[in-house]
Amino acid sequence: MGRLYKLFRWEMNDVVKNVLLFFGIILLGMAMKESLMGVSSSVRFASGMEIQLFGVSKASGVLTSILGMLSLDDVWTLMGFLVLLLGALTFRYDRDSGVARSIYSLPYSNTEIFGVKLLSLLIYGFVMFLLPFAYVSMTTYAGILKYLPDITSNFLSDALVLVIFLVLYLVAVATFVSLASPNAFLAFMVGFAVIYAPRVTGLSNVPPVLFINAISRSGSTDFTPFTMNYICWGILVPLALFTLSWVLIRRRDVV
Amino acid sequence: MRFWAALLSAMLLLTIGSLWVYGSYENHVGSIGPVFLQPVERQGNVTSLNTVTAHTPTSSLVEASCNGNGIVEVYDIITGEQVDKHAVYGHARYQFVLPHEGDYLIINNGTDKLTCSFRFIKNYPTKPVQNALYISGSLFAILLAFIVWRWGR
Repeated sequence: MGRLYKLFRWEMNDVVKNVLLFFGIILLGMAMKESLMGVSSSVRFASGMEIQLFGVSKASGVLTSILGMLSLDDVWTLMGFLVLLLGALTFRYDRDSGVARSIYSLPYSNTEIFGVKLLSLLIYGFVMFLLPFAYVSMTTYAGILKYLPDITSNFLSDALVLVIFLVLYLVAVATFVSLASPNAFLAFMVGFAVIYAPRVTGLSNVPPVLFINAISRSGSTDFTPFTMNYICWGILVPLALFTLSWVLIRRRDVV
Repeated sequence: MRFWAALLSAMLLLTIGSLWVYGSYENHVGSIGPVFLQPVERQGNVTSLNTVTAHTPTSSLVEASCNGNGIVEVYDIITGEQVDKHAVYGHARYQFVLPHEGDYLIINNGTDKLTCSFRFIKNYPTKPVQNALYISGSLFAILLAFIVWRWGR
């Protein structure tokens, strides 16, 4: 275990990846913070024998603001960009720079190296998104912090499942493209095309737009992220890509 | 080591950035409305009313400008506490303070119709928000200092 931990620590403390994490957290956090800064209103008409005007469930402004942070276009553009760069740095750049020759000649199997690299990439991806999100929502609404769990309870779990699906998809694309391409620059460009082509051409049934639209729908009554469409793109496709990458890293020479 | 240093310095800068955001948001004038507020109507035991839910990310000084006759009432939507109540005859321009970030309910509890617009002219982070930012910022700074100190050894 100790020797794998050493590899893991090495992978986590890569300088360029740390710089990306640094900028990622700041930029994503500031984008989220800025999106909250504004007043909004909604008009309703209520009628009935007993009208429920007050309560945690009526705080729709806070709810939509927090949910809005998860489906911001800016945030996901940045996420796609950074995850692809991280993927290219993790799986491809070491080969370009020649470091890989010495890493892969160490007494680790390719599967172990792949597992450790993938784990570090997943940690980077999730930390980069979830940490600023949690921090910004908790500090912005610190005055009503004790009500936040009740306000967010009906949408947060669904929305976070979708966020996990989307991050998994991004990481999987980054991993596969990086391992399949001949150099880091190409890996990044191809990955960017794969992720952004559906968005630019307006295909809304393919990630990332599929998930971004779904996140803003989460919390409504008949919506669940556990339908075939979301599970397929959020779990099965990433698993398939991870398996393919695993096969690639075992079969392909380190060049 | 380097991972934690990157993480903590990013969070520290995010905290500073949040404070800076509040600095520039202070004089940012947001507005709601004009909204049409119908009076609360009671027919038998059926009540019907128009409600406006306003969301502000800070505590705000709000300038209301109303036309018509009625009583504008503002409530904290979570606790149901009344924040402000103002009777309007003809035209009124008055100010009130929303004490903390979150949602507020605005209704007309009079008998006649009202049109109101609300301008959020001053926005300040509340004390819990400032505390949260300063405390977490200090914590990040101390941890970062600790890591940098250990790094040299």
